[in-house]
Amino acid sequence: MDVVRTNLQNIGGSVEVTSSPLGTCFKLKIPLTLAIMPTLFVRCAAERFAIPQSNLLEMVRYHPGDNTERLEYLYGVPVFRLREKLVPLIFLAQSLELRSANDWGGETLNIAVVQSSGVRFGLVVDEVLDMQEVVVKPMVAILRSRSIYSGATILGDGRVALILDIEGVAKNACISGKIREYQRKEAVSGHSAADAEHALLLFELSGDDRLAIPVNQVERLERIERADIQKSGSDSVIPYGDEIMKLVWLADYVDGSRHVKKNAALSIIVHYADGLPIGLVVNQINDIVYVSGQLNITPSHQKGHLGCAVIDEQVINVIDVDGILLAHNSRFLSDVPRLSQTVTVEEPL
Amino acid sequence: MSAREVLSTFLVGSFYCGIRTKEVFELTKGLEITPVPLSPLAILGLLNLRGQLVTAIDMRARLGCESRHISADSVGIFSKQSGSLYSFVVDSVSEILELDEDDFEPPPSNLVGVGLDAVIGVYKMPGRLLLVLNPSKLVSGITAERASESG
Repeated sequence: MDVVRTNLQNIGGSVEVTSSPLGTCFKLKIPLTLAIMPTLFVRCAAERFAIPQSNLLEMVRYHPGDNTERLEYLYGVPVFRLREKLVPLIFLAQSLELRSANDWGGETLNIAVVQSSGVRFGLVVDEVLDMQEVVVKPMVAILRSRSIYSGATILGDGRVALILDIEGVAKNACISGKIREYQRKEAVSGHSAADAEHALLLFELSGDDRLAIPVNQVERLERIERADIQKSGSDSVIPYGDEIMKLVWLADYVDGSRHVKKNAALSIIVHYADGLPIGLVVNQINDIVYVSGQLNITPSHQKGHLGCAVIDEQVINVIDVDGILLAHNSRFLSDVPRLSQTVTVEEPL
Repeated sequence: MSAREVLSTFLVGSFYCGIRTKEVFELTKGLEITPVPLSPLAILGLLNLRGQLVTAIDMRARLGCESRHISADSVGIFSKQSGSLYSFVVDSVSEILELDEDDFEPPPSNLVGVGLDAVIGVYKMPGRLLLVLNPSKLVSGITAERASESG
């Protein structure tokens, strides 16, 4: 109890104990506004600012003498080459109007590389101070209106320091839109999987060569021999490790496609539903495309289609995996239950 | 016998002003104010009053006086408005006066100017006029107008 009381008092809360013959009532009061955030302190002009560590990627010190090519201007926006990637720079002092613009005279730059909702940029500060865990105190509404600061904190010496809202800083510098567009292009051409927000696996069925499934619904890709397929009831199954994988011929459920040709080998997209593997039989697996930002899916009323998306000016039909499995299972349920038996493979259709 | 009112009086530029003493929380000198870049012109910054975050308001800017410089003599008048603490930073404080409400008059109708929306009325003092200010209007009337030079 004493530990609880001490810790609560440290954060400005309290413990109330009231006893009656029926029992004891403990009331713990914990301040609502309390939030502790690990931050990095930087100095800019005469003031200290805190950058939330969750936004911080790395710190870079740039000496102009080292390699003069590294700081360049792209349509007036200073950019910095960091391991062959372009990182736009924001001079914090200018952005906050603490100093007039363009007075950089080639001295060493301290750059905090930060990221906020997919936007990565470098924040140029005068000096990097220390890491501190701070208690975030909310600011009054009139100071929040520009959302450059997420709050303020009181430091050990009694002074107040402002906590930067990295997204607000980017918005204030009016570069977030430009950066986002630039990074989207980079993601598509460079196939940098980590930056992409949506990944789609492209595959084809005969007669329908531009289909896609979200990669997060794909567990593995397999190639199986047609001779290995066995029958379990009305289902086609195949032993898959320790499990039995049910096969679903996607062509049965997707409008506009015909059946797989009678190849000896089949391409399978393994999808797990309720912990069980399900093999989606397709004609051919093509590629993975990355789409950053919002994936605009236009709803479609075709059977088995979730909708279409436009990627690099091509219309891609995204399949509705859940709907297909539902259709498959209901077909199975409507069948007369039969004893499970193993028979030799029968060609579907 | 008419009602009496207690006012804390202070000087801001050429203005002689007062706030009802019951609205005043405390007075403090030697303020360590952290400026908030890009904040409205009338906001000086933030300060720490025994662990509480206080928004400091520049009364010179708020009442439309020229030049702002915070000297060691500047005093913060702390007041709580809608749950948050504010500090009205003034040039110097004067005495606490107990005044007869008979001497009170509502603001003259031709009174127009920056920040004069917060004036409740005027006390006719010997030789000069005392502006009575409403602290909640001082806070709520702050516009998003920013300093053109550095904050």
